[in-house]
Amino acid sequence: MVKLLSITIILSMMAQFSWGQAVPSGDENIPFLINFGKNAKSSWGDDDNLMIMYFVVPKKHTKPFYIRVFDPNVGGKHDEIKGDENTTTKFTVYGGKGCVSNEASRKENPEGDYKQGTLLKSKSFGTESTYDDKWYTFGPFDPTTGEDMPEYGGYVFKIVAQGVSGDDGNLFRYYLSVERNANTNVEGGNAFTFEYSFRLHDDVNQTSHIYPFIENSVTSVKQANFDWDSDGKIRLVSKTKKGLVLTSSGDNHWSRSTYDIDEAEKNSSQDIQFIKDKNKKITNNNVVFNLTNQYGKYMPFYSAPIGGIPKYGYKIGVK
Amino acid sequence: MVYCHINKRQNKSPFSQVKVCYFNESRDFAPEILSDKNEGPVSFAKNDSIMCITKNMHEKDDVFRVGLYLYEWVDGSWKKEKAFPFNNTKYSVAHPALSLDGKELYFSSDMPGGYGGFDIYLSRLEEDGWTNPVNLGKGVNSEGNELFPFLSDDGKLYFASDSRPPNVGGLDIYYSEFYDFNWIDAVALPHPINSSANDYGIYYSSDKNLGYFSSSRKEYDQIYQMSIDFPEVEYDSIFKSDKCPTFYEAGYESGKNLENFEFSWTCSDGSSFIGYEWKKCFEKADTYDIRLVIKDKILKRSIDTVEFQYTATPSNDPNLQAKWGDSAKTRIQLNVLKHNIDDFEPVHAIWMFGRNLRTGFVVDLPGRSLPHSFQLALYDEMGRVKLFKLKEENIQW
Repeated sequence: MVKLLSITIILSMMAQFSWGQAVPSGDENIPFLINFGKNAKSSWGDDDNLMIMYFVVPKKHTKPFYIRVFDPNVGGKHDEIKGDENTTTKFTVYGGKGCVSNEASRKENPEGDYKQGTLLKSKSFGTESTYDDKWYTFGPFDPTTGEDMPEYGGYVFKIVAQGVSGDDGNLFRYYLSVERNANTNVEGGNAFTFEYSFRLHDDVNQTSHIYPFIENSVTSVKQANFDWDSDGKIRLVSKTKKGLVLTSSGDNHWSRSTYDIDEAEKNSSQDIQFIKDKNKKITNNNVVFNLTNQYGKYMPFYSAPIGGIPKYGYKIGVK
Repeated sequence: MVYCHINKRQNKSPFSQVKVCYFNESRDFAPEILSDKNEGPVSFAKNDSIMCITKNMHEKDDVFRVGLYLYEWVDGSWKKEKAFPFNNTKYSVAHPALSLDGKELYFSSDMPGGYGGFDIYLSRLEEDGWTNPVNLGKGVNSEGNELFPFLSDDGKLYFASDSRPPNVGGLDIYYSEFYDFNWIDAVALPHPINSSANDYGIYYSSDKNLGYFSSSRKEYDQIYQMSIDFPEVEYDSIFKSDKCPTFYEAGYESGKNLENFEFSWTCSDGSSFIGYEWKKCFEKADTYDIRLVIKDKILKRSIDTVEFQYTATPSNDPNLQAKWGDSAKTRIQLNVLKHNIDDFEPVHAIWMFGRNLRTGFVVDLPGRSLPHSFQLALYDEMGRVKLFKLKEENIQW
């Protein structure tokens, strides 16, 4: 019953936001996702050479849709090249049973059945320039071929980016679209992941955000960040936390810390802010981030924060 | 009653003489000291055994300079005339007011060094004689004329002035009190005592609530009797001011994790403050817009603004304060100078302690205990009255 109530709340809140199709989204202010080739050093900012993202297509959407990838290749205008351009990234789209319900793909280091589900499409991109600074489109997909997951708001699809060779960093973005050749939102759609690997802005005045959703059952959260390079502060803002500074990592290692969830934070999103040090001016910084609840279960971040961008409730009191 | 009679001038007869009146009959006062000089206002002390009178200093001088002369009552008549040592033919020294023990002499003079015209001075009788006169200061004296001082039995100095605000015409009667080593700004007596004509020469006994004063309100000078009536109006409630609230950021983490934030407050009255808590005092009861801008010190920019409307409610509290008076006199002083009553500026106060009536903003009571209950009536310039029923707990030490 509690779970059903929770689902109802999420669905009703998701219905208010139909613009979570871009990954990363505008609200996240993250320039690119990043995935390194399997021969890359982890100190460059990717712990596992995997980036797994999930898309949600609401059941009321019955028409075909597409998953588009911007700049899927390595080299050219974007990407982090290490020596020669030598990296191949394989993008694979999954649907069907086990796509997200199998917890293997949610973990910090996905292993075993993380590819579980029905393989719908797959394509590898190397150093060719065909899609450099351009969009490649997977699909069309039938929404019903996703995994039916009401707790996530509809049919869920999974796209796995895997650095199968080389050592370069592939910078890319996604879009969930109803059109093959344009980015047009799937109304009510969203995207989420359990571990974010992303590139930070070089501009020290830019702050990136990710928005984990706190379900009703969560009482405490352990955050983990990798290879932050001590580039400023990672801070949490929510309805009840005006700016909790989280333990942050240096170069090539994980840092973790635990914080409690207040009652008023449940069934709402939190805002994890990545605030660069304005004096260090570190460029090409990549970071990996995930959250687990008190049971060790990985928690989703939504591109469109459910319930809107969380804000601390400043109030004026009189005494 | 002893009073000063103004004659119609005939030949060499004096212009002014002192008369004594008993019921409807009047006769010359103290014929043993009368002369062809002008003789005027008089004061008594030491159970009427000492007298100080105003007289011309020169035998054949009508209304030239006047000085003060002291007499003693010996064997049934006034004798031993002594001129006040600060009489001076270059200016007048007049209108004596002796303290009950005869050791303080207040008088009016146009001697040099004053604020203008006639000022009121004080001289004390010490072992080696009268001290140099001291001007009572701007709480009493003005650029105009301050005349006819009178020291009442409750320690107030009454006098007449033609220049102190709020003068309603000619000479008006005022009083002042010596408080915290100063004569406080004089307070005008209310209508109908003061009028558009000359009102002066007051005598008032607070013990008897009975007084007399002179007034020219009916063509020529006459003596009027006065008493102070305690008002019969409904009591006003005392309610304390909340015009000095403390505003603070009251979110979920109120008071915690403040180090990375700056709280910048502004008020629609133009005031501002930076800090987590702002104790803000409003000058008047009104509705104010309070704005709090939160600046993030890490992001180095403003991240939120919250607004609040605060209504400073009016207060109606006379804000009485008490302190021990002179230890020798063991008196309690109540002070309403720092009142906290909105939209009301008292110019006159009447107190009722049991059946004992007192006037003035400062009252001295015998003993070292506060009255359990009493009443206070405050008047403003427009004659509006506020009447408070007060208890011991309404007085702050």
